[in-house]
Amino acid sequence: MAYLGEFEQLVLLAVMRLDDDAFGPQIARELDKTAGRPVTRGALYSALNRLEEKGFLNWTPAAAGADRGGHARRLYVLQPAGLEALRDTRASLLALWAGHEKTLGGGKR
Amino acid sequence: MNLHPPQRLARFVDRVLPTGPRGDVMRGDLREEFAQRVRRGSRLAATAWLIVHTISIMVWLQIDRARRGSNHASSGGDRREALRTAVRSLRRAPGYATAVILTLGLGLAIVVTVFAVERGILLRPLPFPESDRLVRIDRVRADGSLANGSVAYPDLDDWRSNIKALDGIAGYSNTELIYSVDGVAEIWKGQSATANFLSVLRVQPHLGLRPEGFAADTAFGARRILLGYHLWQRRFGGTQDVIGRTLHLGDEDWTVDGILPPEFGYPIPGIDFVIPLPESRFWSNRTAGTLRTVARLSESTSLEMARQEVDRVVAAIDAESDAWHHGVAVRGIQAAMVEPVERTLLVFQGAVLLVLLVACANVAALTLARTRRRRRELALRAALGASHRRLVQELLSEVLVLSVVGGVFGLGAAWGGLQTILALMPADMPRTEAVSIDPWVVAFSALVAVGVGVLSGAVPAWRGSRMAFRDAVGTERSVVGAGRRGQEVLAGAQMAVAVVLLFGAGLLTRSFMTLTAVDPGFRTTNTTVVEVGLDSAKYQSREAVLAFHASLMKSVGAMDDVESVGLSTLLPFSPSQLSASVVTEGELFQRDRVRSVNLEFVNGDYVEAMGLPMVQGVALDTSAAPEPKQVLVNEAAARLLWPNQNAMGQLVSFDVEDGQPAAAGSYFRVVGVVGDSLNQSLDQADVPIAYYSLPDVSRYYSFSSGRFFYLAVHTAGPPSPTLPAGIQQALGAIDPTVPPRTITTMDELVATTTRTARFVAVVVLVFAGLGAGVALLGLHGVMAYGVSQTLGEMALRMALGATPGSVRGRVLARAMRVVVVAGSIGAVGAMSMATVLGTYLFQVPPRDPVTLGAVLAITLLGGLAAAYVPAAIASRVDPMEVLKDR
Repeated sequence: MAYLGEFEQLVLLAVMRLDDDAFGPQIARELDKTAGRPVTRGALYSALNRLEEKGFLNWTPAAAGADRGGHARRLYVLQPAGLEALRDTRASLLALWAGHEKTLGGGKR
Repeated sequence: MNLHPPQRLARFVDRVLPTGPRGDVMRGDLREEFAQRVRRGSRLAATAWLIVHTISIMVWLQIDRARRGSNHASSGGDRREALRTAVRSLRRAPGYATAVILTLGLGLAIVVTVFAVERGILLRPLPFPESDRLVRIDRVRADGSLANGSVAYPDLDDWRSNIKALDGIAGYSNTELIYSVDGVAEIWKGQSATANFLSVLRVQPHLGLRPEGFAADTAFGARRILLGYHLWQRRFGGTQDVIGRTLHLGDEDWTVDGILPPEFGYPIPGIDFVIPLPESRFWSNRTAGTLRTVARLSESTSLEMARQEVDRVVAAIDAESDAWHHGVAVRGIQAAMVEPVERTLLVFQGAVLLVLLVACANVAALTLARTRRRRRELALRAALGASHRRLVQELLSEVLVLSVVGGVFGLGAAWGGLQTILALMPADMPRTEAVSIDPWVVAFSALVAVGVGVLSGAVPAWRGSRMAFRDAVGTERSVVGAGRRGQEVLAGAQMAVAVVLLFGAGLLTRSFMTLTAVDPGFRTTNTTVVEVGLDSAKYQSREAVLAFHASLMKSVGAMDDVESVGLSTLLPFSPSQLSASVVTEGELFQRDRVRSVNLEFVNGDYVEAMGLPMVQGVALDTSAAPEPKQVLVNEAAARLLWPNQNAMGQLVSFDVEDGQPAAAGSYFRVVGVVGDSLNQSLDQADVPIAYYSLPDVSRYYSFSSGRFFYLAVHTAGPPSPTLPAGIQQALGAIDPTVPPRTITTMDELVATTTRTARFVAVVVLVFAGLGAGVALLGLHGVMAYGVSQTLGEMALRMALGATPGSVRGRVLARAMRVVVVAGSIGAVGAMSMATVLGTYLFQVPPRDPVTLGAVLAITLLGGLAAAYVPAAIASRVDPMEVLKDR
């Protein structure tokens, strides 16, 4: 079973949710908006790089807008290994959470 | 709308992000988000955002690199390679390396020394659990100053039951006990304290009873004692069976309850014992406070909260009593302990930082010169493809290697420096026992070493590498003057800082010299003083005390070389002084127009033994009981009591009652006037003093029992080395249970009062000397280097007819320009920083022009000396030799 850190988990989930809009700035915004986690770009790029090295993420070059000053743009894509890692993590978390829904508030906010 | 980041910031971002496609994407993302943020809000916020996130990327790149370890990434290898190259290159320049190591090592040594002292005294916590929650409560006097040890027991008791913010308040007070065995007596110094003393401090005895088993508060005068660890080791060999044993101390039997832990040293280091508070009528008296306090803040109470509650409770209690009306001050015990030295340490800290600055500038100048010498090599490297980054890394590595070596050297030197500074420290410096080189100090010196390396290496490395690229590309011909000016600026900066340092040191030295030159008003040479205390239980009657005085003066007076012997209840510079309100003949006492004088009760030939000059009249005859009673006043007292009149024959009385004249029989007649003497310290104005005959005055008043006194012994020449032993023997022959507390000379006593001033002056002088020395060496180096670079020019000048004198003049003038500019800047700096030293200066203005003039003259002469050798070399150039080589 693959190991996923908490922050790596959040990044993978954000990439999955954004689907074909998973660019760096958008991932950061998603983490901030949906998970309530503002992230420094340093931490984000470090995590993206790590996930790529582990084979959980891949990227394809994408068309760049005018604001980028001619610099390249990357669209991140979740890989099957990444999906697998998310599934494993979810299963173990659910198993651990089972029976504590009352205390933990049922997972809803 | 401008959606681009500011140009300089954009360049910075471009430079710090990694090269390659990954960095390119980051740059794009950052720009895109920047533009979005500008559209949504302000440009300023977007700029701040960009800076923060760019830095976060830099930090994370380093973290990732560290995580991967040096075997993975190429950059770690790069750095190691740069380090190897640096070491190789330094081996080829041993002179430069030695100079840098010595300069930085010296700078670091003094910084680390001062840090170690600060850490020990100010930062290291006291050896009690949660010692930062311990506070003390002091009474505040009418003038706002704090009265040390003036809390009355009934107040303490009320505070304890009413203040919730404090978890126990303990009271304690200095106490001495006399231990005598086999005819030799010694004084133990300890504390008598309330029962909760140890539990408030959270101290468990090393051996014996738990603190709660210690005699209860209400059992005043219980003869139970906790011995200090070191006393126990020294006196009782650390044997366990001392617990429960009975000791005969003073004239009473005491039971040993337990042993204090070894590290326990509160409130005095090496405390000998703790006993319960003695029986005393004071414990029911609110007006006579003698206790000091220590208390512990309750859980989840802050010092501020405690202050508020204490102020409220104390105000309510004080409203009922009429003793104190100015409340109390609550302070952390550590803060209170170190308060008197904080300023001294701050002055030292300032001085060492200035010296370190000089050292950094010096190393930067040396490195710049070395880089310029190596320009050909560097240009070649640049041409062969070494990157700018690589060259900077290499050049910086060189300085870093040296500063780390210098750091090790400095740490060693700091150890020596620490021993010296501790030896010089005045005895009343608190917590010196906590000063040592511990892991924190080592860590600090490592940090400073690296910081200093970067500080002094960064600019030369950057410039050196840029120079290499310019040379390699050949866009700009080198101009000799350009780099040289940089070095001159650095040399000037060192000189300017040195001027500030020298000025400070000069002020302190002058102040110290003025202080020691003060005439104390009495003879200090050939006078031995002995402090003696008689046990009040044993010497209850006035007659017993006076008999003791008489036999002691008789046997000491019979010793060889002794010219006069006398004693007094007080001595100049003794910590406590007794003063009383007095009235002159017929004067009606008025509470709002009080005239008070210091009282000294003397016996024997005290005035003569102390060498107090008789201005008028005669000394007191202490063997007679004349009517009316006699008194001797000093000139200050005469001026105070009988302005513009002759004091001789006047009458004075202690008998004061509001609106009343003194009773007829209570007057003392002035039979003599003595010269003024400084009584409390050398920097205090003349105090009015009245000298009374102890045998006479003790007949009527109980001001002083004479049980505690100072014997003054004046010898014909310097006191012989056997005199103290002789006095000790004489004391032992009269009563073996009476040990002398101290035997010293007036010279030493006067010297101790100037010890702090001397200590501060010596330390700052040493720092300033080091700083100035380094600065002058720096100037010398820059001038010598300049001359070596312009030998061709000099040779040409001489070939064209310049005289050696004019060439020498040119070099000296160049040096003088640096010195004069630096001196002026330094003088301005010195003037603006002068007030820092204000409280240390005695009769020397903080902007003393004499000191400044002297410092500038020294700087000018030093500058001339530093530049003279290079100038002489330049003037002795043989044009033929030099120009042939070109």
